[in-house]
Amino acid sequence: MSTLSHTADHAHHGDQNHDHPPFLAHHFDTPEQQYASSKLGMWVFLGTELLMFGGLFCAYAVYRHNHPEVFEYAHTYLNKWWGAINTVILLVSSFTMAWAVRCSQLGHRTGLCVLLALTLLGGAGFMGIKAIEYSDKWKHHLFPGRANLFNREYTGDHKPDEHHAHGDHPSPAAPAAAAAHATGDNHATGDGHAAAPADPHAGSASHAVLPPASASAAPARALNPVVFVDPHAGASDAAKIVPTSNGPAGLAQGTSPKRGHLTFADLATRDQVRVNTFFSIYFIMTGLHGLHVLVGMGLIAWVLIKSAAGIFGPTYYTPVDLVGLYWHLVDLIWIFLFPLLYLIH
Amino acid sequence: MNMFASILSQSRNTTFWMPEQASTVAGEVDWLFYFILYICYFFFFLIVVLMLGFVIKYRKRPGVPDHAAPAGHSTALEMLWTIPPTLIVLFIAYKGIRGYMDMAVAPPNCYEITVKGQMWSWSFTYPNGATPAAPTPENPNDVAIPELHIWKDQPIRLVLESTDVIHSFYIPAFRLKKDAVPGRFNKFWFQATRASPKDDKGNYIGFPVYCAEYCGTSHSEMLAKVIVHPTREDFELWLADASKWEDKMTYQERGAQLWSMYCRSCHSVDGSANTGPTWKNLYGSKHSFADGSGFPYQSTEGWTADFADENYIRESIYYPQRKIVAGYPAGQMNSFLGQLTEEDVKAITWYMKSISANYTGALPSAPPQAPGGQPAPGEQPQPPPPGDSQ
Amino acid sequence: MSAISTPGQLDLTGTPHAPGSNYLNHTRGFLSWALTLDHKRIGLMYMVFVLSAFFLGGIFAMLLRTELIARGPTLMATKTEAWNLYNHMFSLHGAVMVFLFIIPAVPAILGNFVLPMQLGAKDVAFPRLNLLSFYIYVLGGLFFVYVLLSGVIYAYTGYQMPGGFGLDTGWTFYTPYSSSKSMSGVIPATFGAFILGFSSILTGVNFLASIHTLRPKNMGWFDMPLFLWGLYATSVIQILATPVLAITLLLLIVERWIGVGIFDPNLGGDPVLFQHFFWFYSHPAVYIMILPAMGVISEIIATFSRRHIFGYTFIAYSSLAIALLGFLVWGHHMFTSGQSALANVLFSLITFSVAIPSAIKVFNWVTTMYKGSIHLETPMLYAIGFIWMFSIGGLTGLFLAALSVDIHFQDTYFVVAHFHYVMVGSMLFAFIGGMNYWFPKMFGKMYNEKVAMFAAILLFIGFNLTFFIQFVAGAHGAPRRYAEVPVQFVSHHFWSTIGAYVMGVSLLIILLNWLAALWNGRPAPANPWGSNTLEWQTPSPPPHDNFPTSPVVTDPYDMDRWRFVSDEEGWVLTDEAKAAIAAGTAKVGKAH
Repeated sequence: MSTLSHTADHAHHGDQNHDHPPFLAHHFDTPEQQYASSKLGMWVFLGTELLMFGGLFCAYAVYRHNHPEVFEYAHTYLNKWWGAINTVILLVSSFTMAWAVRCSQLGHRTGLCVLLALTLLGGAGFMGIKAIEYSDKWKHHLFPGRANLFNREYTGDHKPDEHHAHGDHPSPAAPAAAAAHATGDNHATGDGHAAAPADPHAGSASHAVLPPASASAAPARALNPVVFVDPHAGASDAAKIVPTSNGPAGLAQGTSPKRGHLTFADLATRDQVRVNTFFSIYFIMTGLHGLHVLVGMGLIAWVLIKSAAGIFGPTYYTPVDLVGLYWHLVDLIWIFLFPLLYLIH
Repeated sequence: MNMFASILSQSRNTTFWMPEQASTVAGEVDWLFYFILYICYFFFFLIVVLMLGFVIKYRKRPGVPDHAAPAGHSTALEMLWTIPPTLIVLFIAYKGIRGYMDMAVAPPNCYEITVKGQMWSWSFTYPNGATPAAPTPENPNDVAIPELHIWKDQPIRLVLESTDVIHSFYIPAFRLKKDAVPGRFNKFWFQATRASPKDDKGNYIGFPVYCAEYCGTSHSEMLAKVIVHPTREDFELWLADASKWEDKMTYQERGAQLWSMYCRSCHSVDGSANTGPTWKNLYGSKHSFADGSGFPYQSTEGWTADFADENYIRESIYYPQRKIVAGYPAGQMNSFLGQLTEEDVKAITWYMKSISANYTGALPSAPPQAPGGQPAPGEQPQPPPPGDSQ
Repeated sequence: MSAISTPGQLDLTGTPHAPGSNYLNHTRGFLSWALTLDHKRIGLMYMVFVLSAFFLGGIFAMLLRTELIARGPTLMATKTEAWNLYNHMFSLHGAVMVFLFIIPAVPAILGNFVLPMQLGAKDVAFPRLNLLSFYIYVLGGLFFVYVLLSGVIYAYTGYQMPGGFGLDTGWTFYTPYSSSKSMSGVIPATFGAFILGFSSILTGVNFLASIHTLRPKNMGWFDMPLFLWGLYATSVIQILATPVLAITLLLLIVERWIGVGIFDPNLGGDPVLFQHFFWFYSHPAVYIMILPAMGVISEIIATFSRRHIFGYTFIAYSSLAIALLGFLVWGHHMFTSGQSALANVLFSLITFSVAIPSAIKVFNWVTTMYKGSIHLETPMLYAIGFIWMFSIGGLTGLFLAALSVDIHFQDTYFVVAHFHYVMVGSMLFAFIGGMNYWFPKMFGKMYNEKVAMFAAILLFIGFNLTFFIQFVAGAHGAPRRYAEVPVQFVSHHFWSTIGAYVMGVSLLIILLNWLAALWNGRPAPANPWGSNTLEWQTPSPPPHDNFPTSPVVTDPYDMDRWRFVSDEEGWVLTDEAKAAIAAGTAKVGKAH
């Protein structure tokens, strides 16, 4: 047992002998201690955020492992080009955020404000594209839960072929088509679809790009049962039910037709009822992530206002730093979400 | 008050701690139980005796100054109470795993019975396809307790399924339990070592079976019994008799039996309120539906019902969510498609007719296949074949 | 107090600025409490709400035990009504007790009050976050109040409030019963638990950061009081496990609300996945409940044995070991669910490993009492009761970890008795013991010792009567959550219910005793028990900034620094200790 002599050289004297800067809370001794506390707290909090998403990643892993075909089929309803653009946007905004933190440490107020504003703009751009993607799903009744066409308890009035009677949905068609050409994707493109007859039951109507347009993709419905139609047998135009984006061209097409041209009818019956699970996971994951982006944008706006007032400088930049950490986490989660949801082979 | 004595005086084959042993694994489980129990006694009394002894011996006495020993630390002592307990629990874990593997690995010659759990009853389907009804209780207000019949010294494999929520099939005398999970088949096996005793009237006293996973309102009445016949012959005689109702009872009697197996937890037959509408006077009634519509009801199957008729009742059994009676919540009843045959539905319909003032026609007076029996009066319209491909 | 103004001595009279001013009275008015950032006031506000939740949960317990006192419907006229009431009662009892009482009780009340003071600090690291987590707790609690009210309203008027009425799923919310069959308020209840989770996470983040960064420079990790080790391990679990619960409950909410098909087998989901998610949180949550309780017991045993805690490092490390191993055992809740035999075997093995650090703690506590000078005051009675309860609760865990025996015991009253011995017997005894221990510090008043000891003994008797007999019933196969008592278990349940009434009475006595002490208890000295942790080196109740003068950090279990003077003055530093402080040679460093 040591008998070193110490009086309490530690913290928290009743009377404050040293200079207490305005940003230093009363229960901290030094700005360093406050900064260390804040940073530790933020890291731990980010850990909890990761664990929360970790639960979702577990659910994703379980279902993808158990029903790989469902994921392979359903992911074709997502537009990977919007996803890719969003990835770039978030990466760039992460960069501007990191630069902003550097500016705050150096005391460059103008640079800080401009970079924060750019980051905010990136977040807004991300959410805008997300809104376009969501509205596209909405048009096709691909919402999570019972509002999803594929859900066994779907009771909506919408016929499976109704939505594309309205004609082309504008948003993802162009990038999808362009991309399909650009990458040499040899599957049907938006242009090819638009003019195709819709489905054998509903007669002619202009056809949408995405697979749900096909009548053969009519899902099971508990209360109004629909017999699944083999697309190859019943549909006049087999190509139209091929997903727009697919695996690498030529992948195992001969050996396993399901790899190349996975259609709804190719799925086992027990998998057909699970297609809606993919959309549930997609919406919950991207929705929760989107919520985090919104929160991050709010925080950046708050930091931006304070920056404009000139609060931050080389001695005190903790909020900028912490918000930056948070924004990087949001970015990081998206880096995982994008390939897991959009780039399934 | 005899409340305490009854805990101590268990019946012949039970002990203070454990119920009767009636399966091949029970002895092994009980051995491990008692082994752990004596370990627990040892450590518990060691801790408590030391603790209370220290409290008495070293208690602060008035007027005597504190006399505590200096700070203590002994790595040897720490090792003493770390390593031996570790070895003990490793041994317990090993024995537990061994015992579990005996439960988990079924022998090849099992007799397989399907057990279906639903809120709140069990039903058992034997390899011949029969799902015998539970015996009618003596007191009609009691819940009928279904019976699982097996015979002694035969490995039995149960395949568990559930139509609604998670249940758990628990036979304390066999020391076994397995959950019935909707969407998957769980299996377990056992071999009874003791035939069920008989009571004074010559009826078997079964081993109790409980539902051990909470499943809603009447969870505590989701009971069953295991009847262990002494020989296979005895069992086969019972099965042959129980598999056939057509020569023993009329449609309405069979319907009453089915009601008590599958329906009574939600539908009363005396007009009282429950989870679902009462069956009393249901046949022929013109109630309205939760969506505001009413009779005549045009079904998507192509027929029209002017009142709650055979087609409507059949649809309500096979596709319960299509039309919900006003005042009742949706989503409560599961489809009985594949579980009740068309013949069963017919029997239920006749039973409903028999308890409805709206039906004034004749009822079948004899079992459909009784020797010299007559067909049911007024042959009902043939329902369309099931067209659902879900 | 006499002889307190020599140099180098502690000033125990109050702050230099305003003598007599303390944290309770230095500002007044509703807002000075509602918007306070003072950890002590936040701790007291938690106390009011957590004890209210405990009171509610206790009423539910009394009602459900009454239903089980005999066969047939007891509380209601018909079977269906009685069974429904029982199911609602046990679900609300479980949910309210777990989420609103046991999890926050020790960390949020005692932890909030004591942690900064044991660190010699003025506050926790993030005072605003602390207040926020309190209000999040209140908000989460309001959802449970809503669930309760909706059940009452439905029972009396038949009106169904949005979101369902009451709660009848059990606190475990197993799918698919919770997601598709139950008519009860699953969404408001799970949303409430979801919100409470954030309160728990934020408290964990706060405590963890406080312990890391606010420790005095000369207080190393192994110079901390063991209560802080308990809180630290608890914080780690809260941070790692609670987010998973949050996402699980969120998924359950959307499952029930819009039918996403993740847990509902009817829509292609897997109900057992819910159990995995749920127990990944809820098993570690058991250690959230017990680890801070163990910390309290370590403090009490050392103080009232007047002896340095035995095997300090082993107790500290065993807290961490329990926290980490606790994450690897969740599968033992699913031995009968049909998970693979390999998984069952592994989970069984790892479960046994938790037994070892628990045993180490018990043996170290008992050895601390050896050759001590044991003062049998109320907190010590609770500590002795704790060791009794925890021994039974821990040892019966061996039956449940043994795979083949657990197949028999799963979901029987054996499990109910086991976890009540751990979570009520142990945790509640530690909590009430800790409340009695720190009550003088919190309020500056002493409670009536004789009444408190009588209530402690009565609670001990009532508890053992209630729950020991449930081991016997469970071993015979009595399934839990049964509204109707199977014939052979009637007498077991009868005695269990009688025991529950005894517990109810003793808890009321405890509460009234505290209230009476607030009303007319005699003033408490700064250190009524002679403990050497820092919170006793400031007046009772403490001033707003906790310490009028900086406390001297020494070995927290160096009991010889204090000598008893009188009931009025309590324990004061010995002359040697004063001299050491004055000379700057007060002992610090290794606490073992």
